[in-house]
Amino acid sequence: MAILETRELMKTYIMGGEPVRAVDGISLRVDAGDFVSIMGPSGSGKTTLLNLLGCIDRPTGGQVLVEDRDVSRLSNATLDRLRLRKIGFVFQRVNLIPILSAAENVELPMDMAGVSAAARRARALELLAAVGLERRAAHRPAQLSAGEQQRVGIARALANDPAVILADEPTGNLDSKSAAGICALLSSLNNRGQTIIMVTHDPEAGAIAARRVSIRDGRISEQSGN
Amino acid sequence: MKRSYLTLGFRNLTRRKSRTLLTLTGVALAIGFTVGLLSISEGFMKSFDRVMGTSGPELFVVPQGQGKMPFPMSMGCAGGALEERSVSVMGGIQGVTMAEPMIRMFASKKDAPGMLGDMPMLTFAVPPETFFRLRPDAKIKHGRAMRKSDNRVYIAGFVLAQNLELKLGDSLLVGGESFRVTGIMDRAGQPYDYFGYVPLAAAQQIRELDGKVCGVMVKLDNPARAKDASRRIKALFPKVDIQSVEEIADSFQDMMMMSQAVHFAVSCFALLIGVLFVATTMIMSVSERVREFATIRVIGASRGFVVKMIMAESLILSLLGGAAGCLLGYGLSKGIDWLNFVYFRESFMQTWVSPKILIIATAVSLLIGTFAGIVPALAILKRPMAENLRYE
Repeated sequence: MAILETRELMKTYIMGGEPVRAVDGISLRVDAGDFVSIMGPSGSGKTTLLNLLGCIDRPTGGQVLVEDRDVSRLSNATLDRLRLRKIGFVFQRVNLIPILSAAENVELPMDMAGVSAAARRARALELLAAVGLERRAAHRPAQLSAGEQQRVGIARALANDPAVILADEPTGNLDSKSAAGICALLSSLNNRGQTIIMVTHDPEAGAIAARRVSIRDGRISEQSGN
Repeated sequence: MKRSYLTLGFRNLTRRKSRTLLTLTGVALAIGFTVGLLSISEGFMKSFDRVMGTSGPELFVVPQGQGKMPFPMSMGCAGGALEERSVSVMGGIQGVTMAEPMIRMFASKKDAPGMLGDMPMLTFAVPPETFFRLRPDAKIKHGRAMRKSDNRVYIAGFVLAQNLELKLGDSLLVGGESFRVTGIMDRAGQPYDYFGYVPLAAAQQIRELDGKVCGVMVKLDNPARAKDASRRIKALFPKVDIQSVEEIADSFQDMMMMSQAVHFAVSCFALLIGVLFVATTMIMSVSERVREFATIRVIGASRGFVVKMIMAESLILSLLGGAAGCLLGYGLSKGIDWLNFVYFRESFMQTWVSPKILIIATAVSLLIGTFAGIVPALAILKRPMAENLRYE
C-alpha cells in the first residue's frame, strides 16, 4: 500500500506579480517501509514538496494521497488530526519547546491525541530510551547538545506511531559526528519498518536512503535506488 | 489535552520573569487603584444604608426656599424659619406620633486632635424634654442629660466625644459662644453617635430666633404612610418643604452616583493601562514564538489548542494580576481608613471592599485577559503554517 502518493502535484506562488512554480507536476509514490531521500539545491522546491506531503501547505494543482486518501480537499481540522496521527515531523532546527523537558516534548503530541498521562509518560520514556536519551528525560532542550535535541525531535516524531516520518534537513544544523549518529538512528528506524522521507542537500545523509530522488526547478530530475 | 495548554501557558510566563513581573505589577496597580476607589463610594453607601435602617424620624419639615438641600444641611434656616408654635400643631396631626423642633448648629474645639481642631462638628439644638423620646436607644454614659433649665450645656455623641477627646467640663464653641460638656452618650450605633446636642433655647438666643426654629423632625406611627402624613402637614402649612427619608436617600444616591461615575471614569483609565500592559506582553510573547506555534500546529495541534494556549497564558497573567490588585485595593482601602482615622478619627464613612467590587475586579481581569489574548492568538493563526515555520 502507498503510504504517500502525489499525482501531478503543483504549487505556484505569486512573487512580484509573477507566478513561480515551486513544485511543478511531481508524481511520487512512497510505500510502507520505504526510506526516500529528496535531494536538490537550494530553491529547487524540496521543502515545498515536503510541506505539501506533510499537509502543512495546500497544493495549487494535482493530488496528495495519504494511505490512498486524497487529502487535497480535506478541512483544516481534518488535516490537523491527520498530521497528529499519521505523520511525524523532524525539523532542521529541531523546534523543541524550550519550557518543556525532553520527556514532556515527546509527550506533547500524545497529549494532543488524548493519550492518558501514565501511558504517554511510559511511551515517552520508551522512545527516549530508543534514541539513547533515557537519562536525559527530565532535561530541558537548553541542557541538551544539538545532537541530543535532534534525537528528542525524532522521539517526538515517533510519539503517535506515525505511518511516515518527514524529516527536513535533520542533519543540517549538526556537526559531522552528531549528523552520523542521526543518520544511523534514522536507518535503524527504517530497518524496523518505519517509512521515512528525508529532505537533504547533504549527499552523505542522502546516501543512507534506499531510494534517492533529486529535484530541480520543482521537477524530479533523477531517481535512483529501489 | 487540557493539561498541555495550561502547562504551556503557565510555564511561558516564567520565560521572561521580569517582564511577567512588570506586567503583573501594572495589572495589580490598575485593579488595585480601581478597587480602592470603588471601596470609598461603596463604603459611603453602606454607611448611609445603615443610617437609613435605624429608627429615626421619617419626615423633615423645613421652611420653603432651602432649594434641594438635604437634611441636615436644610436645618440651618438658610431660607427662613418656622414658628415654634407650629411644631405642636404638627405633633397633633393624624399619623404623627411626635414632632421635634430643631436648629442645626456647628461646634468646634480648638485643641482637638488630628485635623479636627476648629473643624465644624454637626450639632443640633433640640428641646431637652423631647430628646429621649425621639432617640429611645440613647443612654448617657458620663455626666447627665440636658435639663429644661439648662442653657450653655453640650451633650456629645459617643464617637464625637471620642474623636474630640472630650471630657466632662470641657468647653466647645457653638455659634461663637462657649458651651460646657455636661453629658457624653454611650455608643448606640445610631447617627447621633457622631453629633452633639445643645438646648434649643440656647441656639434660639445665639441665632436670635426667638420663638422660631429651622426645621421639624417628624416621627410617624406608620412609616409606610409617610406620603399621607406629608400631605396633611402641607395642607396646614403650605409654606414648608417636606423631605422624607426616602427622598433624602435618593438625593444622596444621586450624589453618590455622580461620585461613582467619576470613580468609574478614573478606573477606566487605570484599566486601559492594565489592558495595554497585558496586551503588549502577549503580543511580544507571541511574536517571539512564531516558529514555536507553527511547530505545535505542524505536529498536530488544532487552531483551538493554540488559541487556548495563548488565552491560558493571558488569563493566568491577568487573573494573577487581578488577584494581586484585589489585595492591593484592600490594602489601599485600609490605608484610606487609617489616614481618615489619623486625621479625622472615627468617621461616619468607612471604605468597604464589597463582594460586588471583587466580582467587578475579577470580571475586569477576565476581560483584560480575554482581549489581550485573543488578538495575538487570531493574528498568529492568520499566517500560513509553512511561512511561520521559516520565521526568524
